[in-house]
Amino acid sequence: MAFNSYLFWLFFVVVIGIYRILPHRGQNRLLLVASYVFYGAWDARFLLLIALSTVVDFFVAQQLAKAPRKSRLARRWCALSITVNLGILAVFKYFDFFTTSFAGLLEALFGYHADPFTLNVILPVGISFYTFQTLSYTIDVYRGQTRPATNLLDFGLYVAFFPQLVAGPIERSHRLLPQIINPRKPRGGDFTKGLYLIVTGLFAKIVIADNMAFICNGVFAAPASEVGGIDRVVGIYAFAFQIYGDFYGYSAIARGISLWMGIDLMANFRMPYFARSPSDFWQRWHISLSSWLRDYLYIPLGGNRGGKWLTYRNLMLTMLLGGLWHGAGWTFVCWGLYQGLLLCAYRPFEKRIREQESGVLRRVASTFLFFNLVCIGWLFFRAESLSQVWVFFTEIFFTDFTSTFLANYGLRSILYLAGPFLLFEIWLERRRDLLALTKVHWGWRAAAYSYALFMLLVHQPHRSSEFIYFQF
Amino acid sequence: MNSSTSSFKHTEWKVLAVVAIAFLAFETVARLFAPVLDYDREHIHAFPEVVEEMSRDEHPRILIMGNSLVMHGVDSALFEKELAQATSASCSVTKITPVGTAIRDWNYLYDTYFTERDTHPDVVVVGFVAHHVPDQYELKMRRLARHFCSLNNLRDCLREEGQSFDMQALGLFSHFSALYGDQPEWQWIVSPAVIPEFGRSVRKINGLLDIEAERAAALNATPAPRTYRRLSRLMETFRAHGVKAYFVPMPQPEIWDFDPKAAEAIASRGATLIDARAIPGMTQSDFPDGYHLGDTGSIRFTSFLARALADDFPLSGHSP
Repeated sequence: MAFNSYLFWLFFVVVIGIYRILPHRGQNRLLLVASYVFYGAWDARFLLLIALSTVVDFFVAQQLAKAPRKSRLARRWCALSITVNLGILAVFKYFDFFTTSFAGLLEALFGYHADPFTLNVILPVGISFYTFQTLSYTIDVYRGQTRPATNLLDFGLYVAFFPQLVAGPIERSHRLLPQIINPRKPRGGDFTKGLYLIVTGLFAKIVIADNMAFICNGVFAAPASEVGGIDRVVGIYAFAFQIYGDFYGYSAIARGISLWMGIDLMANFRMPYFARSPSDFWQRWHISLSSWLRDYLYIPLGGNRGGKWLTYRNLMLTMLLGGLWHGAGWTFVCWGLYQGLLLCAYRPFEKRIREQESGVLRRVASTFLFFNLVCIGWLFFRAESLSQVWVFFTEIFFTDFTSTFLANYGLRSILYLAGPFLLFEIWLERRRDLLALTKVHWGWRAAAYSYALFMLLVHQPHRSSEFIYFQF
Repeated sequence: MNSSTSSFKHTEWKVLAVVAIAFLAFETVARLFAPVLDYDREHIHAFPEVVEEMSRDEHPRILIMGNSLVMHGVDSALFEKELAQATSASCSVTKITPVGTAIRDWNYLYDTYFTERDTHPDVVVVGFVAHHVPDQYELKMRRLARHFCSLNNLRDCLREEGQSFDMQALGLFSHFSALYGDQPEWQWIVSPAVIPEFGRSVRKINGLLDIEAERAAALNATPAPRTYRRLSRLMETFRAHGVKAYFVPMPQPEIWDFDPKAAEAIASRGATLIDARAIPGMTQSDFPDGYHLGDTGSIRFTSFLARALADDFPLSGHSP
């Protein structure tokens, strides 16, 4: 039941129709049931995992509230929550990766051939998102930053709230829990903002991401005899816009439908391809994950408090684990390492880049340079294997860069389908307001939505694709 | 309403009203241009007149049905002439050949344009190659619901062909909206205007992705066995209306394997199989694009078909 399916919108119409006639308590019960139905539509068996995570963390938080703050007992309760949540992740997401990698290592180092024991379990949709969300709750209670929820059903809704259950944003308890526990009051502009987010989200997913996916999938599936290095470059650019449109689209729709239910989720993206440095990028891309990694990993590791080399170590470790969070595969590990290296390499120049306010040309140049560095990372992220990464690199570096019809098609598609969205983002960037369109004359919105409607109706993808982040 | 939630500014009504008007304007344009979008649309939009004309034609009325293979492969005038020469009797020939269609489309097309108008030919000749007759042929829901279904059989179509709620919704919208139903055609008109390499590139990428999908399917599972429920249903329809049916496996540059199960299904419903996979004298040069018959191939195939039907004359349909 993806956001770009008719079934989801029927489901949502039914849910919001009932929601609006219920009192606060009833709304919460309805949303909890709806969230379980929503998740169960993928695989009802994995509802047990969400329920387990919910019950354990609710119970642990209750015990943490009773235990002296940061005492040994509190640490033990916190450790239990971390063990259960990471244990679920370890079994369902990483077990097979680690056993097969270990077997490969044994063979490479000692020539010993071992048949790895694998579970071959299906990866539950959105497992990394909800485990991180619920984990942050117990850690926040342990730190005394959040008061424990007193009602299991309210907490269950915090864990399973359907708009952000399978692909985020990874909400923090201090933001989302109060909105669940306390009655939601009507807020002026929620409908307007929600509509804006839904329209831009659907546009980003269907018009940009799915059409870019077609190009990118073709280029990544093509054998070397069929395409050249320039086609590979365009394929990677297409992926850059696919993953952005896909993930921004999901997050925007999640925020939009939540706003229509009176719940304000955090913004997960802020024009990421206008970043000029890695730290700038991570303040704009998947903000809920990057801030999670900062607060629960980077800072506890010491952050930048231990000198230059310790800071580099912490950055590398944080990004390595961030890479692994995305997927159990060496390509993701390498992507994380690459992001860590970028952060380390840019660190001495961060201040200078940040202060580089004047000179449009220099800003454009540094943005373009960094966008291309991000795209190199996307190659690791998208590739099926490291050997495919190698093939792409060799083809790209040894190409004669003669233009091909496929490359022209890819570039023109990016310009035609994603270009207007990027221009719109330049406008947003200049206004320094993600919701600027909701604050201008209604005629502009009407024109923009009519354009979006036209593009949605005419430029349906040749083949539909699932949301990329569901697999994480 | 109680404690909740969202507010609705009056201005947003205006925004939604403009968007609704824009949709209606797009839809109007789509409807106005639908009959002249391309040759295929012109052909499809002419079906009611074609059927009407057929009802006034002399007996025996022969309907030649299929897709682009039949469109390129059968020369109606030549067929009529050769059949008349071979039998010393006259007949009328009608050709209905919407491109990219297969057994699923032909079922609904026949119901909509012939059964519902209670106008039937005496003879139907259906031309096809291997992948057109099994139930597993790709579903093109937009086209099916928009052009080959009527209000009367839409419900059956959505129930039987819509494999998911989303597919059913797509079918429903496509039936009532020209924008939805003809979306791929509009995309193929608008996109090349902006991206000149559109057609060539899309075909190339589709080819690459098809190879990849076939490779993955071959690795993952054994392919589902081919079934012929829709073929049987079409033959039942013909039989119920006293229409004599001929099914013609058509020639291709290489002789292809005809599934014995399909032949069995055709024989068991009293239809006649005219095996035209290998026509004497036909060579690869008769297929200029490697798939459709060209001018020379069309003459050979049409003559072959006319002779085969002449052998079976008189072509009166059997009683329902």
